[in-house]
Amino acid sequence: MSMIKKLLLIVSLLVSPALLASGGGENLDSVYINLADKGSLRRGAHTFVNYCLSCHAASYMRYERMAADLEIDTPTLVENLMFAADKPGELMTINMASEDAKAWFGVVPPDLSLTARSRGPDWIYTYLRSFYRDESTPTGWNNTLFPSVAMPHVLYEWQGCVKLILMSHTVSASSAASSRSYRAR
Amino acid sequence: MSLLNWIDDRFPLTKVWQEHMAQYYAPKNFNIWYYFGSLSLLMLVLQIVTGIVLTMHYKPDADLAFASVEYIMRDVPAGWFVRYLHGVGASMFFLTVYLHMFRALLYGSHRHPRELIWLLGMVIYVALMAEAFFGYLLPWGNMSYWGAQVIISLFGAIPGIGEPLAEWIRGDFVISDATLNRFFAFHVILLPLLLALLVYLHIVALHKVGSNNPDGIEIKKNKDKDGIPVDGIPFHPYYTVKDTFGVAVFMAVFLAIVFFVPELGGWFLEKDNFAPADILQTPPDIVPLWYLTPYYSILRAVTFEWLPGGAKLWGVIAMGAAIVMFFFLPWLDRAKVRSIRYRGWLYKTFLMLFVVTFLMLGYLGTKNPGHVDIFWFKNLIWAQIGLVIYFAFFLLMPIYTRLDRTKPEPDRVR
Repeated sequence: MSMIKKLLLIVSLLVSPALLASGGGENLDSVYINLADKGSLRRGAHTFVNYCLSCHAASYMRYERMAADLEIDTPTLVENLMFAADKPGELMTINMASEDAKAWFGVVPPDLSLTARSRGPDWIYTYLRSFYRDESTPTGWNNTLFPSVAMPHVLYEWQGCVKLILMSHTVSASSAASSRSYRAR
Repeated sequence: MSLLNWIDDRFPLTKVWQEHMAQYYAPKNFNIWYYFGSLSLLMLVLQIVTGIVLTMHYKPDADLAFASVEYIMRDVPAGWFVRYLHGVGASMFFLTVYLHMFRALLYGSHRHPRELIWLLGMVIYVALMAEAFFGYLLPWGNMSYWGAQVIISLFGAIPGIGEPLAEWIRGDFVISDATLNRFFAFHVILLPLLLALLVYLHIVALHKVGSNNPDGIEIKKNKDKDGIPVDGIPFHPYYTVKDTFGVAVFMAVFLAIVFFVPELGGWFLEKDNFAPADILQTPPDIVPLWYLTPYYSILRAVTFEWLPGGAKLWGVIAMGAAIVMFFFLPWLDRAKVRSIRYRGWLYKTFLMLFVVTFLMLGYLGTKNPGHVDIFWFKNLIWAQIGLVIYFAFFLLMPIYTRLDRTKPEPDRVR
Protein backbone atom coordinates (compact mmCIF):
# COMPACT_ATOMS: atom_id res chain seq x y z
CA MET A 1 0.00 0.00 0.00
CA SER A 2 1.23 3.45 -0.80
CA MET A 3 1.52 6.16 1.81
CA ILE A 4 -1.39 8.04 0.25
CA LYS A 5 -3.68 5.03 0.54
CA LYS A 6 -2.74 4.56 4.18
CA LEU A 7 -3.41 8.19 4.94
CA LEU A 8 -6.75 8.00 3.13
CA LEU A 9 -7.66 4.96 5.19
CA ILE A 10 -6.88 6.76 8.43
CA VAL A 11 -8.77 9.86 7.36
CA SER A 12 -11.77 7.80 6.34
CA LEU A 13 -11.69 5.97 9.66
CA LEU A 14 -11.78 9.29 11.45
CA VAL A 15 -14.35 10.97 9.24
CA SER A 16 -16.79 8.23 8.28
CA PRO A 17 -18.57 8.03 11.65
CA ALA A 18 -19.43 11.72 11.43
CA LEU A 19 -20.81 11.33 7.93
CA LEU A 20 -22.84 8.27 8.80
CA ALA A 21 -24.31 9.76 11.93
CA SER A 22 -26.79 12.09 10.26
CA GLY A 23 -30.47 11.34 9.85
CA GLY A 24 -33.28 11.08 12.38
CA GLY A 25 -36.58 9.27 12.59
CA GLU A 26 -39.09 12.11 12.89
CA ASN A 27 -39.89 14.83 10.38
CA LEU A 28 -38.74 17.90 12.24
CA ASP A 29 -38.66 21.50 11.14
CA SER A 30 -35.09 22.69 11.27
CA VAL A 31 -34.00 25.69 13.26
CA TYR A 32 -30.67 27.46 13.31
CA ILE A 33 -29.54 28.51 16.77
CA ASN A 34 -26.64 30.92 16.64
CA LEU A 35 -24.78 30.38 19.90
CA ALA A 36 -22.72 33.53 19.23
CA ASP A 37 -25.82 35.74 19.17
CA LYS A 38 -25.96 36.62 22.88
CA GLY A 39 -28.92 38.99 22.41
CA SER A 40 -31.03 36.19 20.97
CA LEU A 41 -29.94 33.82 23.74
CA ARG A 42 -30.79 36.43 26.42
CA ARG A 43 -34.29 36.89 24.94
CA GLY A 44 -34.62 33.11 25.00
CA ALA A 45 -33.60 33.01 28.67
CA HIS A 46 -36.19 35.71 29.42
CA THR A 47 -38.92 33.69 27.66
CA PHE A 48 -37.76 30.55 29.43
CA VAL A 49 -37.92 31.94 32.98
CA ASN A 50 -41.28 33.58 32.26
CA TYR A 51 -43.10 30.76 30.51
CA CYS A 52 -41.35 27.49 31.35
CA LEU A 53 -39.63 27.82 34.70
CA SER A 54 -42.80 27.73 36.81
CA CYS A 55 -43.64 24.11 36.01
CA HIS A 56 -40.37 22.83 34.51
CA ALA A 57 -37.11 23.11 36.40
CA ALA A 58 -33.64 23.48 34.93
CA SER A 59 -32.12 22.14 38.10
CA TYR A 60 -28.65 21.33 36.75
CA MET A 61 -28.14 25.01 35.91
CA ARG A 62 -27.38 27.91 38.25
CA TYR A 63 -28.66 31.45 37.61
CA GLU A 64 -25.09 32.65 38.06
CA ARG A 65 -23.77 30.20 35.45
CA MET A 66 -26.45 31.25 32.95
CA ALA A 67 -25.74 34.92 33.58
CA ALA A 68 -22.01 34.43 33.11
CA ASP A 69 -22.51 32.45 29.88
CA LEU A 70 -25.00 34.96 28.44
CA GLU A 71 -23.00 37.98 29.68
CA ILE A 72 -25.79 39.32 31.90
CA ASP A 73 -24.75 41.51 34.85
CA THR A 74 -25.98 40.54 38.32
CA PRO A 75 -28.48 43.44 38.91
CA THR A 76 -30.13 42.73 35.54
CA LEU A 77 -30.24 39.02 36.37
CA VAL A 78 -31.80 39.55 39.81
CA GLU A 79 -34.39 42.04 38.52
CA ASN A 80 -35.46 40.39 35.30
CA LEU A 81 -34.72 36.71 35.42
CA MET A 82 -34.80 35.52 39.03
CA PHE A 83 -38.41 35.01 40.05
CA ALA A 84 -38.06 31.78 41.98
CA ALA A 85 -34.75 32.25 43.78
CA ASP A 86 -33.07 34.60 46.24
CA LYS A 87 -29.40 34.26 45.38
CA PRO A 88 -27.67 34.15 41.96
CA GLY A 89 -25.79 31.04 43.06
CA GLU A 90 -28.96 28.99 43.36
CA LEU A 91 -29.99 26.22 41.01
CA MET A 92 -32.89 26.94 38.65
CA THR A 93 -35.41 24.85 40.53
CA ILE A 94 -39.17 25.37 40.89
CA ASN A 95 -41.51 25.64 43.86
CA MET A 96 -44.21 23.29 42.62
CA ALA A 97 -44.17 20.03 44.59
CA SER A 98 -43.89 16.81 42.62
CA GLU A 99 -47.06 15.38 44.23
CA ASP A 100 -49.04 18.45 43.19
CA ALA A 101 -47.66 18.28 39.67
CA LYS A 102 -48.69 14.66 39.44
CA ALA A 103 -52.18 15.46 40.67
CA TRP A 104 -52.62 18.38 38.28
CA PHE A 105 -50.95 17.14 35.10
CA GLY A 106 -50.71 13.38 35.60
CA VAL A 107 -46.91 13.55 35.30
CA VAL A 108 -44.11 15.56 36.84
CA PRO A 109 -42.99 18.04 34.15
CA PRO A 110 -39.50 16.92 33.09
CA ASP A 111 -36.38 18.89 33.92
CA LEU A 112 -35.38 20.96 30.88
CA SER A 113 -31.65 21.54 31.55
CA LEU A 114 -30.60 19.02 28.93
CA THR A 115 -33.55 18.76 26.56
CA ALA A 116 -31.68 20.60 23.81
CA ARG A 117 -28.98 17.94 24.07
CA SER A 118 -31.15 14.85 24.43
CA ARG A 119 -33.82 15.80 21.87
CA GLY A 120 -32.10 18.55 19.93
CA PRO A 121 -33.10 22.17 19.07
CA ASP A 122 -35.11 21.04 16.02
CA TRP A 123 -37.33 18.91 18.20
CA ILE A 124 -37.99 21.75 20.68
CA TYR A 125 -38.71 24.19 17.86
CA THR A 126 -41.14 21.79 16.19
CA TYR A 127 -42.76 20.76 19.47
CA LEU A 128 -43.49 24.32 20.59
CA ARG A 129 -45.15 25.05 17.23
CA SER A 130 -47.16 21.81 17.03
CA PHE A 131 -49.88 22.45 19.63
CA TYR A 132 -53.48 22.47 18.44
CA ARG A 133 -56.91 22.83 20.04
CA ASP A 134 -58.39 19.50 21.13
CA GLU A 135 -61.48 19.54 23.37
CA SER A 136 -61.14 15.85 24.20
CA THR A 137 -58.02 16.32 26.37
CA PRO A 138 -58.00 17.59 29.98
CA THR A 139 -56.06 20.73 29.07
CA GLY A 140 -57.94 21.39 25.84
CA TRP A 141 -54.69 21.14 23.87
CA ASN A 142 -52.89 18.42 22.02
CA ASN A 143 -49.67 18.20 20.03
CA THR A 144 -48.94 16.57 16.65
CA LEU A 145 -45.33 15.82 17.59
CA PHE A 146 -46.16 14.59 21.11
CA PRO A 147 -49.69 13.07 20.99
CA SER A 148 -51.71 13.24 24.25
CA VAL A 149 -49.18 15.61 25.74
CA ALA A 150 -49.99 16.52 29.37
CA MET A 151 -49.02 20.16 28.96
CA PRO A 152 -51.25 22.95 27.65
CA HIS A 153 -50.14 25.37 24.92
CA VAL A 154 -48.22 27.83 27.08
CA LEU A 155 -47.23 30.11 24.20
CA TYR A 156 -50.87 30.29 23.10
CA GLU A 157 -51.05 34.08 23.41
CA TRP A 158 -48.24 34.38 20.89
CA GLN A 159 -49.36 31.82 18.37
CA GLY A 160 -53.14 32.02 18.64
CA CYS A 161 -55.61 29.18 18.48
CA VAL A 162 -54.44 26.42 16.18
CA LYS A 163 -56.88 24.06 14.50
CA LEU A 164 -55.87 20.61 13.27
CA ILE A 165 -56.72 19.89 9.65
CA LEU A 166 -56.14 16.29 8.62
CA MET A 167 -55.50 15.68 4.95
CA SER A 168 -54.87 12.39 3.27
CA HIS A 169 -52.74 12.20 0.14
CA THR A 170 -51.99 9.48 -2.30
CA VAL A 171 -48.27 9.29 -2.69
CA SER A 172 -45.81 7.24 -4.67
CA ALA A 173 -44.76 3.85 -3.35
CA SER A 174 -41.29 5.08 -2.48
CA SER A 175 -42.62 7.28 0.30
CA ALA A 176 -45.56 5.07 1.23
CA ALA A 177 -44.36 4.99 4.80
CA SER A 178 -45.56 8.55 5.27
CA SER A 179 -48.82 8.27 3.34
CA ARG A 180 -50.69 10.37 5.88
CA SER A 181 -49.37 13.77 6.69
CA TYR A 182 -50.52 15.87 9.57
CA ARG A 183 -50.37 19.60 9.35
CA ALA A 184 -51.33 22.07 11.99
CA ARG A 185 -52.65 25.41 10.84
CA MET B 1 26.77 12.83 38.87
CA SER B 2 27.20 11.64 42.39
CA LEU B 3 23.44 11.50 42.95
CA LEU B 4 23.04 9.25 39.91
CA ASN B 5 25.84 7.03 41.20
CA TRP B 6 24.18 6.92 44.59
CA ILE B 7 20.93 5.79 42.96
CA ASP B 8 22.63 3.36 40.58
CA ASP B 9 24.26 1.61 43.55
CA ARG B 10 20.81 1.01 44.97
CA PHE B 11 18.52 0.89 41.91
CA PRO B 12 19.33 -0.02 38.25
CA LEU B 13 18.27 3.38 36.91
CA THR B 14 20.98 3.88 34.28
CA LYS B 15 20.84 0.20 33.35
CA VAL B 16 17.09 0.30 32.72
CA TRP B 17 17.40 3.57 30.76
CA GLN B 18 20.13 2.07 28.56
CA GLU B 19 18.40 -1.26 28.01
CA HIS B 20 14.97 0.12 27.23
CA MET B 21 15.63 3.55 25.72
CA ALA B 22 19.13 4.68 24.77
CA GLN B 23 20.45 1.26 23.72
CA TYR B 24 17.19 -0.43 22.79
CA TYR B 25 17.58 -0.99 19.07
CA ALA B 26 14.39 -0.78 17.04
CA PRO B 27 14.18 -1.38 13.28
CA LYS B 28 14.95 1.77 11.31
CA ASN B 29 11.99 1.40 8.93
CA PHE B 30 9.00 2.06 11.20
CA ASN B 31 6.22 3.81 9.29
CA ILE B 32 3.01 5.65 10.22
CA TRP B 33 1.40 2.49 11.64
CA TYR B 34 3.99 2.39 14.40
CA TYR B 35 2.63 5.52 16.04
CA PHE B 36 -0.40 3.82 17.51
CA GLY B 37 1.36 1.86 20.24
CA SER B 38 2.80 4.95 21.89
CA LEU B 39 -0.46 6.82 21.24
CA SER B 40 -2.39 4.06 23.03
CA LEU B 41 -0.04 4.44 25.99
CA LEU B 42 -0.63 8.19 25.88
CA MET B 43 -4.39 7.60 25.96
CA LEU B 44 -4.07 5.26 28.95
CA VAL B 45 -2.15 7.91 30.89
CA LEU B 46 -4.56 10.65 29.82
CA GLN B 47 -7.61 8.58 30.82
CA ILE B 48 -6.08 7.89 34.24
CA VAL B 49 -5.20 11.56 34.83
CA THR B 50 -8.59 12.92 33.69
CA GLY B 51 -10.28 10.06 35.53
CA ILE B 52 -8.63 11.06 38.81
CA VAL B 53 -9.89 14.64 38.40
CA LEU B 54 -13.41 13.44 37.55
CA THR B 55 -13.42 11.14 40.59
CA MET B 56 -12.82 14.18 42.80
CA HIS B 57 -16.21 15.62 41.79
CA TYR B 58 -18.30 12.63 40.73
CA LYS B 59 -20.80 10.98 43.12
CA PRO B 60 -21.25 7.20 42.69
CA ASP B 61 -24.83 7.24 43.93
CA ALA B 62 -27.94 6.51 41.85
CA ASP B 63 -29.64 9.64 43.22
CA LEU B 64 -26.67 11.97 42.71
CA ALA B 65 -24.59 10.58 39.83
CA PHE B 66 -26.36 12.24 36.91
CA ALA B 67 -26.50 15.63 38.62
CA SER B 68 -22.85 15.37 39.68
CA VAL B 69 -21.81 14.94 36.04
CA GLU B 70 -23.77 18.07 35.11
CA TYR B 71 -22.18 19.79 38.10
CA ILE B 72 -18.78 18.90 36.61
CA MET B 73 -19.95 20.24 33.24
CA ARG B 74 -21.21 23.59 34.56
CA ASP B 75 -19.76 24.43 37.97
CA VAL B 76 -16.34 22.77 38.27
CA PRO B 77 -13.69 25.05 36.72
CA ALA B 78 -12.67 23.46 33.39
CA GLY B 79 -14.77 20.46 34.42
CA TRP B 80 -16.41 20.32 30.97
CA PHE B 81 -12.95 20.08 29.42
CA VAL B 82 -11.83 17.23 31.68
CA ARG B 83 -15.12 15.38 31.19
CA TYR B 84 -14.98 15.71 27.38
CA LEU B 85 -11.31 14.67 27.36
CA HIS B 86 -12.32 11.54 29.26
CA GLY B 87 -15.46 10.77 27.24
CA VAL B 88 -13.94 11.49 23.83
CA GLY B 89 -10.71 9.94 25.11
CA ALA B 90 -12.45 6.58 25.53
CA SER B 91 -13.30 6.54 21.83
CA MET B 92 -9.86 7.80 20.81
CA PHE B 93 -8.26 5.10 22.98
CA PHE B 94 -10.20 2.43 21.13
CA LEU B 95 -9.37 4.06 17.80
CA THR B 96 -5.62 3.91 18.51
CA VAL B 97 -5.92 0.35 19.85
CA TYR B 98 -7.83 -0.81 16.76
CA LEU B 99 -5.25 0.78 14.46
CA HIS B 100 -2.46 -0.76 16.58
CA MET B 101 -4.09 -4.19 16.18
CA PHE B 102 -4.58 -3.68 12.45
CA ARG B 103 -0.87 -2.88 12.18
CA ALA B 104 -0.14 -6.34 13.62
CA LEU B 105 -2.37 -7.93 10.96
CA LEU B 106 -0.62 -5.93 8.23
CA TYR B 107 2.95 -6.80 9.17
CA GLY B 108 2.51 -10.08 11.07
CA SER B 109 3.60 -8.62 14.41
CA HIS B 110 1.61 -11.32 16.20
CA ARG B 111 3.59 -14.17 14.59
CA HIS B 112 6.36 -16.25 16.15
CA PRO B 113 8.26 -15.26 18.34
CA ARG B 114 5.86 -12.49 19.41
CA GLU B 115 2.82 -14.64 20.29
CA LEU B 116 2.94 -13.69 23.96
CA ILE B 117 3.02 -9.97 23.14
CA TRP B 118 -0.10 -10.52 21.07
CA LEU B 119 -1.85 -12.54 23.79
CA LEU B 120 -1.04 -9.91 26.43
CA GLY B 121 -2.28 -7.27 24.01
CA MET B 122 -5.53 -9.15 23.51
CA VAL B 123 -6.03 -9.40 27.28
CA ILE B 124 -5.49 -5.62 27.40
CA TYR B 125 -8.12 -5.22 24.67
CA VAL B 126 -10.67 -7.32 26.57
CA ALA B 127 -9.86 -5.50 29.83
CA LEU B 128 -10.32 -2.22 27.97
CA MET B 129 -13.75 -3.28 26.76
CA ALA B 130 -14.69 -4.15 30.34
CA GLU B 131 -13.28 -0.81 31.53
CA ALA B 132 -15.35 1.05 28.92
CA PHE B 133 -18.48 -0.92 29.77
CA PHE B 134 -18.19 -0.25 33.51
CA GLY B 135 -17.38 3.41 32.90
CA TYR B 136 -20.34 3.87 30.61
CA LEU B 137 -22.78 3.20 33.47
CA LEU B 138 -21.31 5.91 35.70
CA PRO B 139 -22.95 9.02 34.15
CA TRP B 140 -26.25 7.27 34.99
CA GLY B 141 -27.87 8.43 31.77
CA ASN B 142 -30.73 6.49 30.27
CA MET B 143 -28.51 4.77 27.71
CA SER B 144 -25.98 3.95 30.46
CA TYR B 145 -28.75 2.29 32.38
CA TRP B 146 -30.34 0.32 29.58
CA GLY B 147 -27.03 -0.59 27.98
CA ALA B 148 -25.87 -2.16 31.24
CA GLN B 149 -29.26 -3.84 31.61
CA VAL B 150 -28.95 -5.48 28.17
CA ILE B 151 -25.31 -6.56 28.51
CA ILE B 152 -25.74 -8.05 32.00
CA SER B 153 -28.92 -9.81 30.95
CA LEU B 154 -26.76 -11.67 28.38
CA PHE B 155 -25.33 -13.67 31.28
CA GLY B 156 -28.90 -14.83 31.85
CA ALA B 157 -28.63 -16.82 28.61
CA ILE B 158 -26.17 -19.27 30.20
CA PRO B 159 -28.17 -22.45 30.92
CA GLY B 160 -28.79 -23.29 34.57
CA ILE B 161 -26.76 -20.65 36.39
CA GLY B 162 -27.60 -17.74 34.06
CA GLU B 163 -30.24 -15.83 36.02
CA PRO B 164 -28.63 -16.16 39.48
CA LEU B 165 -25.30 -15.14 37.90
CA ALA B 166 -26.79 -12.00 36.32
CA GLU B 167 -28.39 -11.15 39.66
CA TRP B 168 -25.06 -11.65 41.45
CA ILE B 169 -23.29 -9.31 39.01
CA ARG B 170 -25.97 -6.63 39.40
CA GLY B 171 -26.32 -7.09 43.17
CA ASP B 172 -30.03 -6.55 42.60
CA PHE B 173 -32.89 -7.72 40.39
CA VAL B 174 -32.40 -4.72 38.13
CA ILE B 175 -29.56 -2.26 37.56
CA SER B 176 -29.55 -0.16 40.72
CA ASP B 177 -27.43 1.81 43.16
CA ALA B 178 -25.66 -1.42 44.17
CA THR B 179 -24.64 -2.01 40.54
CA LEU B 180 -23.47 1.58 40.14
CA ASN B 181 -21.28 1.33 43.23
CA ARG B 182 -19.55 -1.88 42.21
CA PHE B 183 -19.09 -0.69 38.62
CA PHE B 184 -17.49 2.46 40.02
CA ALA B 185 -15.08 0.32 42.06
CA PHE B 186 -14.20 -1.79 39.00
CA HIS B 187 -13.83 1.26 36.76
CA VAL B 188 -11.59 3.35 39.01
CA ILE B 189 -9.58 0.67 40.83
CA LEU B 190 -9.67 -2.89 39.54
CA LEU B 191 -9.36 -2.39 35.80
CA PRO B 192 -6.96 0.57 35.77
CA LEU B 193 -4.60 -1.44 38.01
CA LEU B 194 -4.99 -4.45 35.77
CA LEU B 195 -4.46 -2.38 32.62
CA ALA B 196 -1.32 -0.75 34.02
CA LEU B 197 0.11 -4.17 34.92
CA LEU B 198 -0.81 -5.70 31.56
CA VAL B 199 0.66 -2.78 29.60
CA TYR B 200 3.89 -3.16 31.62
CA LEU B 201 4.01 -6.87 30.78
CA HIS B 202 3.17 -6.14 27.12
CA ILE B 203 6.19 -3.82 26.88
CA VAL B 204 8.51 -6.17 28.85
CA ALA B 205 7.61 -8.99 26.44
CA LEU B 206 8.14 -6.66 23.47
CA HIS B 207 11.58 -5.58 24.65
CA LYS B 208 12.60 -9.21 25.20
CA VAL B 209 12.05 -10.22 21.56
CA GLY B 210 12.33 -6.78 19.93
CA SER B 211 9.98 -5.00 17.58
CA ASN B 212 8.76 -6.37 14.29
CA ASN B 213 8.82 -3.98 11.31
CA PRO B 214 6.97 -3.33 8.03
CA ASP B 215 9.17 -5.87 6.23
CA GLY B 216 8.42 -8.55 8.82
CA ILE B 217 12.03 -9.73 9.01
CA GLU B 218 14.28 -10.09 12.07
CA ILE B 219 16.82 -7.28 12.38
CA LYS B 220 18.69 -9.35 14.98
CA LYS B 221 19.91 -11.69 12.22
CA ASN B 222 22.25 -8.98 10.94
CA LYS B 223 24.50 -7.66 13.68
CA ASP B 224 27.74 -5.71 13.46
CA LYS B 225 30.92 -6.62 15.37
CA ASP B 226 29.58 -4.90 18.55
CA GLY B 227 26.46 -7.04 18.48
CA ILE B 228 24.20 -4.15 17.43
CA PRO B 229 21.64 -4.86 14.67
CA VAL B 230 22.80 -3.04 11.52
CA ASP B 231 19.21 -2.14 10.65
CA GLY B 232 18.44 -0.95 14.17
CA ILE B 233 18.52 2.55 15.60
CA PRO B 234 18.39 3.45 19.31
CA PHE B 235 14.84 4.04 20.51
CA HIS B 236 16.02 7.22 22.17
CA PRO B 237 16.44 9.74 20.61
CA TYR B 238 15.17 8.53 17.21
CA TYR B 239 11.79 7.07 18.09
CA THR B 240 11.12 9.29 21.09
CA VAL B 241 11.35 12.23 18.68
CA LYS B 242 9.24 10.48 16.05
CA ASP B 243 6.58 9.53 18.61
CA THR B 244 6.51 13.09 19.93
CA PHE B 245 5.64 14.26 16.43
CA GLY B 246 2.88 11.62 16.31
CA VAL B 247 1.56 12.83 19.65
CA ALA B 248 1.40 16.42 18.35
CA VAL B 249 -0.62 15.46 15.26
CA PHE B 250 -2.87 13.13 17.24
CA MET B 251 -3.55 15.72 19.95
CA ALA B 252 -4.50 18.27 17.29
CA VAL B 253 -7.19 15.89 15.98
CA PHE B 254 -8.24 14.80 19.47
CA LEU B 255 -8.56 18.34 20.82
CA ALA B 256 -10.39 19.51 17.70
CA ILE B 257 -13.05 16.88 18.48
CA VAL B 258 -13.10 17.81 22.18
CA PHE B 259 -13.53 21.52 21.47
CA PHE B 260 -15.79 21.53 18.43
CA VAL B 261 -17.72 18.24 18.15
CA PRO B 262 -17.43 16.35 21.47
CA GLU B 263 -20.53 14.26 20.69
CA LEU B 264 -19.32 13.58 17.13
CA GLY B 265 -22.90 13.35 15.93
CA GLY B 266 -23.83 10.84 18.63
CA TRP B 267 -20.90 8.50 17.92
CA PHE B 268 -18.78 9.51 20.92
CA LEU B 269 -21.54 10.69 23.28
CA GLU B 270 -25.06 9.45 22.69
CA LYS B 271 -28.09 11.76 22.76
CA ASP B 272 -30.11 9.42 24.95
CA ASN B 273 -27.46 9.66 27.64
CA PHE B 274 -28.31 13.29 28.29
CA ALA B 275 -31.54 12.10 29.91
CA PRO B 276 -31.23 10.59 33.40
CA ALA B 277 -31.61 6.84 33.93
CA ASP B 278 -35.29 5.91 34.00
CA ILE B 279 -36.39 2.36 34.71
CA LEU B 280 -39.82 3.11 33.17
CA GLN B 281 -38.54 4.58 29.92
CA THR B 282 -36.70 2.21 27.59
CA PRO B 283 -34.90 4.04 24.75
CA PRO B 284 -36.27 3.06 21.30
CA ASP B 285 -32.88 1.63 20.24
CA ILE B 286 -30.45 0.41 22.89
CA VAL B 287 -26.96 0.46 21.38
CA PRO B 288 -23.46 0.49 22.85
CA LEU B 289 -20.84 2.95 21.61
CA TRP B 290 -19.16 2.31 18.25
CA TYR B 291 -16.16 0.38 19.60
CA LEU B 292 -18.37 -2.44 20.86
CA THR B 293 -20.97 -2.46 18.07
CA PRO B 294 -19.22 -5.01 15.78
CA TYR B 295 -19.74 -7.62 18.50
CA TYR B 296 -23.21 -6.34 19.27
CA SER B 297 -24.06 -6.86 15.59
CA ILE B 298 -22.81 -10.44 15.76
CA LEU B 299 -24.92 -11.03 18.88
CA ARG B 300 -28.02 -9.73 17.14
CA ALA B 301 -27.28 -11.54 13.86
CA VAL B 302 -27.99 -14.93 15.45
CA THR B 303 -31.78 -15.13 15.22
CA PHE B 304 -32.18 -18.85 14.64
CA GLU B 305 -34.60 -20.03 17.30
CA TRP B 306 -34.35 -23.66 16.14
CA LEU B 307 -30.82 -23.90 17.56
CA PRO B 308 -30.69 -26.04 20.74
CA GLY B 309 -30.80 -23.69 23.72
CA GLY B 310 -32.32 -20.84 21.71
CA ALA B 311 -31.01 -17.98 19.59
CA LYS B 312 -29.97 -15.78 22.52
CA LEU B 313 -27.55 -18.38 23.90
CA TRP B 314 -25.96 -18.92 20.49
CA GLY B 315 -25.80 -15.18 19.93
CA VAL B 316 -23.83 -14.82 23.16
CA ILE B 317 -21.58 -17.72 22.14
CA ALA B 318 -20.98 -16.19 18.69
CA MET B 319 -20.18 -12.82 20.27
CA GLY B 320 -17.73 -14.41 22.70
CA ALA B 321 -16.18 -16.51 19.94
CA ALA B 322 -15.74 -13.40 17.79
CA ILE B 323 -13.43 -11.95 20.44
CA VAL B 324 -11.72 -15.25 21.31
CA MET B 325 -10.82 -15.78 17.63
CA PHE B 326 -8.27 -12.98 17.86
CA PHE B 327 -6.33 -14.88 20.53
CA PHE B 328 -5.62 -17.73 18.11
CA LEU B 329 -4.33 -15.55 15.27
CA PRO B 330 -0.61 -16.34 15.77
CA TRP B 331 -1.35 -20.02 15.24
CA LEU B 332 -4.02 -19.66 12.55
CA ASP B 333 -1.65 -17.77 10.27
CA ARG B 334 0.52 -20.30 8.42
CA ALA B 335 2.16 -18.07 5.81
CA LYS B 336 5.92 -18.32 5.25
CA VAL B 337 6.27 -14.54 5.45
CA ARG B 338 4.98 -12.08 8.02
CA SER B 339 4.51 -8.80 6.21
CA ILE B 340 1.71 -7.97 3.81
CA ARG B 341 4.44 -6.63 1.51
CA TYR B 342 5.48 -10.19 0.64
CA ARG B 343 2.14 -11.94 0.89
CA GLY B 344 -0.02 -12.95 -2.07
CA TRP B 345 -3.44 -11.65 -3.08
CA LEU B 346 -5.36 -14.20 -0.97
CA TYR B 347 -4.36 -12.75 2.40
CA LYS B 348 -4.66 -9.19 1.11
CA THR B 349 -8.19 -9.89 -0.12
CA PHE B 350 -9.29 -11.61 3.07
CA LEU B 351 -7.79 -8.88 5.26
CA MET B 352 -9.48 -6.08 3.30
CA LEU B 353 -12.76 -8.00 3.34
CA PHE B 354 -12.39 -8.46 7.09
CA VAL B 355 -11.75 -4.75 7.68
CA VAL B 356 -14.77 -3.75 5.59
CA THR B 357 -16.88 -6.37 7.38
CA PHE B 358 -15.71 -5.19 10.80
CA LEU B 359 -16.62 -1.59 9.95
CA MET B 360 -19.95 -2.67 8.45
CA LEU B 361 -20.83 -4.73 11.54
CA GLY B 362 -19.86 -1.74 13.67
CA TYR B 363 -22.16 0.52 11.69
CA LEU B 364 -25.03 -1.99 11.73
CA GLY B 365 -24.67 -2.40 15.49
CA THR B 366 -25.96 1.14 15.87
CA LYS B 367 -28.96 0.59 13.56
CA ASN B 368 -32.28 -1.15 13.90
CA PRO B 369 -31.89 -4.72 12.51
CA GLY B 370 -35.28 -4.54 10.80
CA HIS B 371 -34.45 -1.43 8.75
CA VAL B 372 -32.67 -1.11 5.42
CA ASP B 373 -29.77 1.27 5.98
CA ILE B 374 -27.31 0.01 3.36
CA PHE B 375 -28.25 -1.32 -0.05
CA TRP B 376 -31.18 -3.68 -0.67
CA PHE B 377 -31.30 -6.09 2.27
CA LYS B 378 -32.48 -5.57 5.81
CA ASN B 379 -29.70 -4.76 8.26
CA LEU B 380 -30.16 -8.19 9.79
CA ILE B 381 -29.26 -9.94 6.53
CA TRP B 382 -26.15 -7.76 6.16
CA ALA B 383 -25.15 -8.56 9.74
CA GLN B 384 -25.57 -12.29 9.03
CA ILE B 385 -23.44 -11.99 5.89
CA GLY B 386 -20.91 -10.07 7.98
CA LEU B 387 -20.90 -12.79 10.63
CA VAL B 388 -20.04 -15.43 8.02
CA ILE B 389 -17.20 -13.34 6.54
CA TYR B 390 -15.93 -12.47 10.03
CA PHE B 391 -15.54 -16.10 11.06
CA ALA B 392 -14.36 -17.19 7.61
CA PHE B 393 -11.43 -14.78 7.93
CA PHE B 394 -10.25 -16.62 11.03
CA LEU B 395 -11.32 -20.21 10.42
CA LEU B 396 -10.12 -20.39 6.80
CA MET B 397 -6.86 -18.62 7.64
CA PRO B 398 -4.75 -21.82 7.97
CA ILE B 399 -5.87 -22.74 4.45
CA TYR B 400 -5.60 -19.48 2.54
CA THR B 401 -2.36 -18.37 4.17
CA ARG B 402 -0.75 -21.67 3.16
CA LEU B 403 -2.14 -21.56 -0.39
CA ASP B 404 -1.12 -17.94 -0.82
CA ARG B 405 1.76 -17.33 -3.24
CA THR B 406 4.23 -15.29 -1.23
CA LYS B 407 7.20 -13.30 -2.48
CA PRO B 408 10.68 -13.89 -1.03
CA GLU B 409 11.59 -11.74 1.94
CA PRO B 410 14.64 -9.48 1.60
CA ASP B 411 17.71 -10.03 3.81
CA ARG B 412 17.79 -6.46 5.04
CA VAL B 413 14.98 -4.01 5.77
CA ARG B 414 14.27 -1.56 2.98
